[in-house]
Amino acid sequence: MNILVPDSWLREYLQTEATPLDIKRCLSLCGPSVEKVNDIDKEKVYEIEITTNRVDMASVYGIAREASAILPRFGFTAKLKPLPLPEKISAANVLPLDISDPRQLCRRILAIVMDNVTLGQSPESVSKRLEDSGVRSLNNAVDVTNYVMLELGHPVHVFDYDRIKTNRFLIRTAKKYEPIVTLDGKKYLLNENDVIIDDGTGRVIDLPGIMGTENSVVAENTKRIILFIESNDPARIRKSSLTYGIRTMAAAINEKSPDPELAYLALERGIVLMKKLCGAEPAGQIIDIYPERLKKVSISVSPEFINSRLGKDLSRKEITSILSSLNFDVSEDNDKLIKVIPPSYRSFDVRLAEDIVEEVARIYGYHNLPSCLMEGQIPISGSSINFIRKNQIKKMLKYWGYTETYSYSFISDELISKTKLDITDHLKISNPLTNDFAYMRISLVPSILEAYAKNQALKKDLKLFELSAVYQKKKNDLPVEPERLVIAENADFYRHKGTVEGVFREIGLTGWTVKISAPEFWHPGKSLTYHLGKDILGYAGQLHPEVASSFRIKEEVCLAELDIEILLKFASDAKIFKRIISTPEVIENFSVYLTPEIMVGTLISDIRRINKFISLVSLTEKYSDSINLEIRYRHPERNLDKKEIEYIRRQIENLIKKQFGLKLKNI
Amino acid sequence: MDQKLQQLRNSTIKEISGIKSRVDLNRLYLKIFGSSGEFTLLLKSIPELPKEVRPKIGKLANQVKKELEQAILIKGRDLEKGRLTEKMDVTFPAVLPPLGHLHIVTKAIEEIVLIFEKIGFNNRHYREIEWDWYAFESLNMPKNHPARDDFETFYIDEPPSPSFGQMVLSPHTSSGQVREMEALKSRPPVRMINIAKCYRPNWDLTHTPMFHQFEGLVVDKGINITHLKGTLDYFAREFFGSERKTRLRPFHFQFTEPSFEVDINCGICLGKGKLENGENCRFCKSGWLELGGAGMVHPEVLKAGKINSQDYTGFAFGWGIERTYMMKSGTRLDDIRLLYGNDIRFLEQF
Repeated sequence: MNILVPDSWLREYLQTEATPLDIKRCLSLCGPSVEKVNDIDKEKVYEIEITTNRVDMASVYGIAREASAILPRFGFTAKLKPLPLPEKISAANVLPLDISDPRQLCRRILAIVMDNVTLGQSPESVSKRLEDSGVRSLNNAVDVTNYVMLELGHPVHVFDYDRIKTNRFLIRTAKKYEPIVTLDGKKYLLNENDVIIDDGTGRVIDLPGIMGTENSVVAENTKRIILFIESNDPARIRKSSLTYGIRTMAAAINEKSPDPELAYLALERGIVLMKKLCGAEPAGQIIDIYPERLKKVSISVSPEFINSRLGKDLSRKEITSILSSLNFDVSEDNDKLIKVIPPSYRSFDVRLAEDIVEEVARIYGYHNLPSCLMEGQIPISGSSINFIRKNQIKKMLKYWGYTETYSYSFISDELISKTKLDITDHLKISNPLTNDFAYMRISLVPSILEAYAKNQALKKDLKLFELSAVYQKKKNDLPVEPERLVIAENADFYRHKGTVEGVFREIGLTGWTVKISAPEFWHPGKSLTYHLGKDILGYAGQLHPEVASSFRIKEEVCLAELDIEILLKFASDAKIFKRIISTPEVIENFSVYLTPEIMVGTLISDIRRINKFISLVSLTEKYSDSINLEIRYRHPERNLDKKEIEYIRRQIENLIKKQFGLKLKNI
Repeated sequence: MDQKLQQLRNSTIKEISGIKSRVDLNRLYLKIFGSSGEFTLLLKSIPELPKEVRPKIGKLANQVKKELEQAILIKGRDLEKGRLTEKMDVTFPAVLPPLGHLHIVTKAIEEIVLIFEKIGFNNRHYREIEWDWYAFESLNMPKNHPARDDFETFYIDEPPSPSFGQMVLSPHTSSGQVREMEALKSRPPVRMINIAKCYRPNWDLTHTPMFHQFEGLVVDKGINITHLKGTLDYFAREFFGSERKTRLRPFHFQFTEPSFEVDINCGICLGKGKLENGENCRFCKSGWLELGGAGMVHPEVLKAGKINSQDYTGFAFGWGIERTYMMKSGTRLDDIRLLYGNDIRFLEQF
């Protein structure tokens, strides 16, 4: 949480020659982060971030106390001035008030009844400070409670005594759907987690620690009041405050365990100010229900331990002086150890030796510690290779003209049904931001098609890819998160196939086979499944026309989805040297007329296998009705003679003509 | 013979003058001086001449040879010169190789990994969907910790594990800390950089519900704050530039003690807050920019990873990749949601 602290108010408790900018710099380095110093009509106002563990600093006095420890380390004098002494309470007449907390829902409850209240505006000195601190000035009685909270850091509440007709406070938890109306006129239905105050008749008169209710707060003609503080359960406060979205400053403080010891000081300060600002007089003594006093924590720690964590040797004397400056009680435990007792307002956050290290280190100044890289053994890795390969794949695609996308891992139920995936295969998010982000994707295809559809009008030769994880449900266990590579492009089928196989080749895959047709996203007659052994490497081919139209994709788009885990499993950098053969190659060209059933891939691989001297079969031309194959043969050690060449040629011709039943053009 | 040589010279000189290309010139040379060239053949016939004319003819042949060779040489040079006067429109647009684009998150991740690998950090990738225990409980976050609120963390609608609690979308890479300790069988040294997608229910100019973090974790004997400072300074110099350095300020995280916020000195004013002309630096306002959080590993976290916190200490930091990279590149990206919007007009800018 951020708080606003006016400089003049701070200096009421802190005597120092340090300027506001000095204070900003020094506090930020060693204590709370002062994010800004704002200029508001002649006043400098600090905007300070208070971390959740340091609610003791969420006040003018808390900051003054912290600054008095920090500023001297930078050569400034800084003295913390004491709080004004409380007045002795003498009550002329006593008004009854009965408070009970049978279930001990509160750590401490403090209250006092005051009479003769004159409601009105606060003097400008008070209202301006409130406004500078970001709190609206309302009337003098409410202003007192806010003033005390800002100054000391403990929320305080004020009730109209006469509006609580029973003079009774019963602290209990709410019933389910029990209604309340808060002081800002909003209605809420409570539940069993919420702590409320009941006037003994079942009527709810407060949502303590968070916000008052309309039926009990001071009103125009209030004459008698109850000044009230309770130390409630921080977890319940937080839950209630968040459930109903009532994010008051009181709730923000109360949910962080403010010091119950501080509560008493706050009440005393409230009494003084009520008297001063509203002319109120106590009508009874302070009621203090405090069943279990806060226990002090004692931590034993050695200077060696502290120094080993700091990486710098501080003397026992210096450590002691730093801790004392923070009001920690330091004593000798034995030769080796010192015993440290933090003040009550730090007893929730300082509990371990490591916490003491932090206090010493930050006040000494992290900026005063040296900076050096660690020595020591470097752990064995072996984890880099897959990262390198994945980056290789991304880079080859980039240099082949593809653009990388990153889409959300989420998928909407609409997109799931659009792509005909099974919704029950998807992990569902219990608290999604919107319906677009309701499920975890099991395929990258919907994401890339969405990206494709979105961009198709913007670029002619759109080529997109993404390499990301998908999330596959497992029964009673975390999902598996395999990575996939998906490619979508406006390209000729064979070029697309070339990209996929280019990736395979570049990462050293060999021996894959293809089967015609891929699953539902693909056109059944224009797609392939890639196999390697028992594994499926992935799918490629033309997008199914129905899927295309459901995404309003106009062109014939090619799509590939590859399983990165399997690709990496078989990837290899191993290259085996083969002797360079320099015997001349015989190059022959065969022009073959095609028939509709012919599978050119099979033809080529069959030719390749027919004779061991065939070194290369490549498709050099493709016409509407025919293809040209360039076939090379060579003997590794000598020239092939005319008879051998003739024999191979015959074999090829026979294969083409007889086995495949095709006609040759030029022979 | 005399005449033949003269004729050959004259006809060849004439032919040379008409030649337009290097190829033709070479061909002519071979026609005259090749192994069965005209001149070569004439020369071969000299022994058949009467003895007394041979010296004279020989001399003449030599002279003709020199003359023709010279003429061919000069012609060659002229042809070269002629080529130099040829022109083309060099301003005509280039034909580029296909150049696609990598996403900036990919680039940032690669850079970060390379920097940390140099000082021995293992590159890891831990789960995105985690048990509550790894995401919170093992990181010393109590049950009611604000980070566990359902508007801070996404929960998965699956039955909880009896021992590890609910299934969550990991809101930070710190969930990998205890995973790494377990992977190393709780035997330090640990030096890892864990990079993963993280998720939090935020949606505004500077937040997307999915983002990336990199998590550094070091656990070994004798690790202290100075080592964290050294590592962060090293990273700042390598990633942002040699004049950059970091500073630590106190902060609070449940899983580190002490905890820090890390600042880096501004790349424009180098931490002074003022420019050379005395004006205030408008980029950073005070000389320093916030990088992210860090801290010394909390003993409870080491305990969760079954590492003895008396013998071993460590440090950790976990930062947003997007934010860190934006700070470096000065891309002036004013809406981080563009990163995951997949608009080609955005993607092609990188």
